[in-house]
Amino acid sequence: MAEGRSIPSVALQERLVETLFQIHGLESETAGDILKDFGIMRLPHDRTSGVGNDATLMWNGPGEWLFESEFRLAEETLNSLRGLFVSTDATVTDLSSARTIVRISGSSRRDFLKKGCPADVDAMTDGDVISSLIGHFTATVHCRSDCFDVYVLQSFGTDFWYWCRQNIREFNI
Amino acid sequence: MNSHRHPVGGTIDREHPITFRFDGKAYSAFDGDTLASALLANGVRIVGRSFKYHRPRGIFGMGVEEPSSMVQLRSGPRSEPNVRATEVEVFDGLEAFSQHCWPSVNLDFGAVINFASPIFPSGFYYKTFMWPASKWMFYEHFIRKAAGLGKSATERDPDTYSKFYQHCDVLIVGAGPTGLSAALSAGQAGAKVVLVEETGQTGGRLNFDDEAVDGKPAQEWVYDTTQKLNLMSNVEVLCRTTAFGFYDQNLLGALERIADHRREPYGREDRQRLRMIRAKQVVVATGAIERSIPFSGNDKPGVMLASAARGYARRFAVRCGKKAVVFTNNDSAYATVSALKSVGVMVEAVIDCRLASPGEDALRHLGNTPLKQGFAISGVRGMRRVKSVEVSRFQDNGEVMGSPETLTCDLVCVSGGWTPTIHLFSHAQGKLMFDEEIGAFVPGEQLGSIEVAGSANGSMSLGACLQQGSDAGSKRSMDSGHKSELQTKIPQVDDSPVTPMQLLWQVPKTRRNSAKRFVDIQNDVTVEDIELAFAEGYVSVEHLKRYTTLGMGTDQGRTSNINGLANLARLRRSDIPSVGHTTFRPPYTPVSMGALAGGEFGTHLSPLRRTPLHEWHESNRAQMLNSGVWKRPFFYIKTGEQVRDAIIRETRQVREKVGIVDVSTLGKIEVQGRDAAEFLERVYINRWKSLPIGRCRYGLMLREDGFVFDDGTTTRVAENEYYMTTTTANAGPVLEHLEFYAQTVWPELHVHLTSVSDQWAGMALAGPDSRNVLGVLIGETEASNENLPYMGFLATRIDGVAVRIFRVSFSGELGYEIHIPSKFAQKVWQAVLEAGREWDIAPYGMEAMTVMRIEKGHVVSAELDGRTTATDLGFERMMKKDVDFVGKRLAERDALVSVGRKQLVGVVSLSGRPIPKGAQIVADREARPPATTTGHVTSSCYSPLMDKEIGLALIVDGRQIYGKELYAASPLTGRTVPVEVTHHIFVDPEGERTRG
Repeated sequence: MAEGRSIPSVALQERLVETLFQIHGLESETAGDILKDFGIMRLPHDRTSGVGNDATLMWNGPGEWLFESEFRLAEETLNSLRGLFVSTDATVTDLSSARTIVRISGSSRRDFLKKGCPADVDAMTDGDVISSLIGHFTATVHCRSDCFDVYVLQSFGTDFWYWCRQNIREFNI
Repeated sequence: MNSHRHPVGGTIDREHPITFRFDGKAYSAFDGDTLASALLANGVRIVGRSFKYHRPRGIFGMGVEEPSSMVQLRSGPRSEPNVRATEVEVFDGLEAFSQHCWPSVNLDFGAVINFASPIFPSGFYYKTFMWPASKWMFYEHFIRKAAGLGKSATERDPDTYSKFYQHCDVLIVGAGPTGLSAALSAGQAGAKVVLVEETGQTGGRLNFDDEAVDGKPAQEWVYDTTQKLNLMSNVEVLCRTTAFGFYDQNLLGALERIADHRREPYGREDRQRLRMIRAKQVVVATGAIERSIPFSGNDKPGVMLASAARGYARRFAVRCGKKAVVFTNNDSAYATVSALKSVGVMVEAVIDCRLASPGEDALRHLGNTPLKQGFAISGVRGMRRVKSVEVSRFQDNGEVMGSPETLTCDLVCVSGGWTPTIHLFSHAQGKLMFDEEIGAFVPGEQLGSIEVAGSANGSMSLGACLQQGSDAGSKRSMDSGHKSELQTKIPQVDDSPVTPMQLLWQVPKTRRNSAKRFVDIQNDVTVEDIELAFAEGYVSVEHLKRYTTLGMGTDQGRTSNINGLANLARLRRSDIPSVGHTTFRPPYTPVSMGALAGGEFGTHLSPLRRTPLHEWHESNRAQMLNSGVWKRPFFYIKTGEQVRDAIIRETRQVREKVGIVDVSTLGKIEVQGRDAAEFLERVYINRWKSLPIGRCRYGLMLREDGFVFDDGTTTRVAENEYYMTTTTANAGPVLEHLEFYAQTVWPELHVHLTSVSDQWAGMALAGPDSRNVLGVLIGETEASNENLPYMGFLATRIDGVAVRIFRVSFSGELGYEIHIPSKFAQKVWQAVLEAGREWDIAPYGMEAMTVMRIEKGHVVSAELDGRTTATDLGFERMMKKDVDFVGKRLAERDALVSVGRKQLVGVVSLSGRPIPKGAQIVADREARPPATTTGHVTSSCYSPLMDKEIGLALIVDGRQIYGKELYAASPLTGRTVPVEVTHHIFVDPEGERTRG
């Protein structure tokens, strides 16, 4: 059903991923060569993401990216990336335990996010990434074709979930 | 059924009668009525009492401009004070109450003040209650009791409120003819348009003015246009939504009243929503508000704005009186004549102060009603409502002359002209200029992305409003990147020429009519008050406002401001522009606290951080403590145990056996890059390049001003990788501090900083048996002193989980910090407890940790309070002499190294009584504030190990007076405890336990 014509609804789901890294200092000229094994052929533009083979690279601020993989094991992938970065100034940090990821789907997902996010949610299209606030929480918001993934600090995860539950009320009759 | 309602006409739904109550009495109304129209339809004339003199007040306006008829709406937890009856949509079962009166609105004992009003001029309080100054609090009690309007609900609000962020290309404020026209052209151009309208319906004055658009009744054009807008997917029309404030970068705050017009919200619906709308372009089409003319007795119930009387007649078929007189200085009021006649009101005469004949359209409305040109109302007769008016000849010089003529009437419709609603433009820092033609301030130069159009811009004709609206919509949509292929057709209207208005700011008193001439009806400010204030030297408009309270009420002087300014200008013998105007500030209309808070109250007031072990703590009888935004275990209580017992038990557990505490809240920062060591060398006071891989070091950071900023341990994990810990409180500020230096001061350094505070959970394993426990977990050899010495680091596995183990101790006992990826924290915590079972391991909380760190003399934020230096705290030997670092230069200034500074010491209670936290250190036991102090207690506790009350203190030259007896005096508790000054490390000063 087309968005906007369906019954208002929002679904929340905690999303678990094996691997989430912060990468600093990749150069656009060499990044494609370095990350080609992951299916990522170039650095994503600002506020966007690139998708590879079970690997997503999300812009996370100037010179910073989040590397996410659903099934690749964190320890192995970390060692692998460190090996690939050895001749560069790029660094990688394991954040696989540091974020709670909440997937927000449903026809009213944009209106739901607007209850806490001051950024222009309507302007986000598939693959866009922003760093913003949702309610009190600093969040990275990744727009996917049919949902949003919201990344908040793990320590705020429970409280963010409560915030979501409070603000979802009007959409789920 | 409604004795004052015409049997036909209006836009109310007569098929749906409803019942409401006012002051406990039941009345009938129709769906579509406002509370004001319903009260008028039921013949209720006195609705409230004035703020200062408790004078009876009726309904004066029809919308947001209403200064008089404020009511207490609903009862119980939804009760709300100061609601304008003109803005309340009546629903079945509505309850409203008059306010600021006792015992009733018709018989108000407070009205006695009115009879004594000659002794209550403006500035009365300032003049009367000055002496003696000490009695002000006494006076204030009674003044406050007498003042105020309405009462706040005392029960918890049962409704929910929310916030909503919105972005658009063009935001149009106001859905009158200008706003609708703008929305149509912007919408047709394809721009993303939001149109906000404060009332429940679009159309503005077209809903009750007898106008034709394209040859059809204007209401049809409003309906058709609204339908078109509703069908456009790029246009959102928000009724019952008031844009109340214009903030930076085109951010407008708007209050959407979702369910205020219903008894209660439906289902899970919010009652109100605070919309924060960020617009690329803004069209302000907020229209204009009619103003009154001050004349003697102009506040009596029955005197109202001409536009309001017209609106009540046309929209609600309500007769606001039986016999009316219209008093005007402009053509617009003439339309009221035909409107009143249409509902059966007899219009006795139109009193026009102008000598010139009104325009053609005005004459059409006048019909055969007598017109008195060059006359003014010089007085109103009637105690509690209008019974007649006195009309006098009005001269060019502004004086009235001759014998007045009495006209019997119960309704006086006044129009002193129209004042553009330029509040939002003014919020946006737009400059105003005075338009002599309409006698009001209008926008000066338009601002870049903001356009004021229509009546709000001073253009009062319908044709001009439609044209300006359409132009503004087209231009603003184009400026936001949307160009229409179609030329929007401007509807045709018949704007016949009008006769210019005659500015009239007050009608002079006559000998026969010396009653007050009200400028501000809400605050009881009269022309005479302005004259008195001027005579007393209040010649600035800002001073006048504050001295007289002109325009300071909930209506913010919408009908009175310009009359006040004009009268001040008259007294100053200058023009209005040189008097200037007061500053408009948000909010335009009151915004409920509920909407401002949204869902952020109670447990959602601020976000809470939980450690990965939170659930374990809660299910194991931990008493949780709010520590900043963190929830941390304070202590774990056993059945039958007192708090003090639990803390002592936990402390002994660690000192004698082994304990484990959650330290996940520590700040953790990964410092990486080939210049990481150099970076640390520059931000810490001590050396880092020499730190071998696999070792930790205690580090101290200074602020630029030389005072201590933060401390913690940092570990060299790999050649170019360091793992820094900070205090919990400074985790964020330290990262900001480091990022600032990395990005702006030393961009040449290759260093990357990443907060890993949430990645790693932390637990401190401490006590004489801690090595045994660790041996079970990772093997005895791995845990040995040789393999993992004091300040050593080991990356290993526990139960298959990769962990980081640091041989550091905050308690002063043999100890280890185990850091684990957060998602495995519970698993490892359980494994540690299991491994320690043989040694009777137990968890301990923050308070036991605090006791042990005081015993060990470790500093925390109580000592790192932003006023202490490294030398004050005994770290002077750590400071590099040969290498520069942040804060070094200013740490060496005389004031920071001279004698006479407070130094960190220990204090021991000599009386056995607890040392008050924050107590001042004095030499004289009997000292009372203000007294000379030599220091203060930073931390204190009972030490189970020493069986003494101990503390840490900062005392002037403290390290030179060990053994001296002083006094810790607490002005807060009134307690004074004798203390002995000691070294600040009470336990294991040689470090044998920690290094053992």
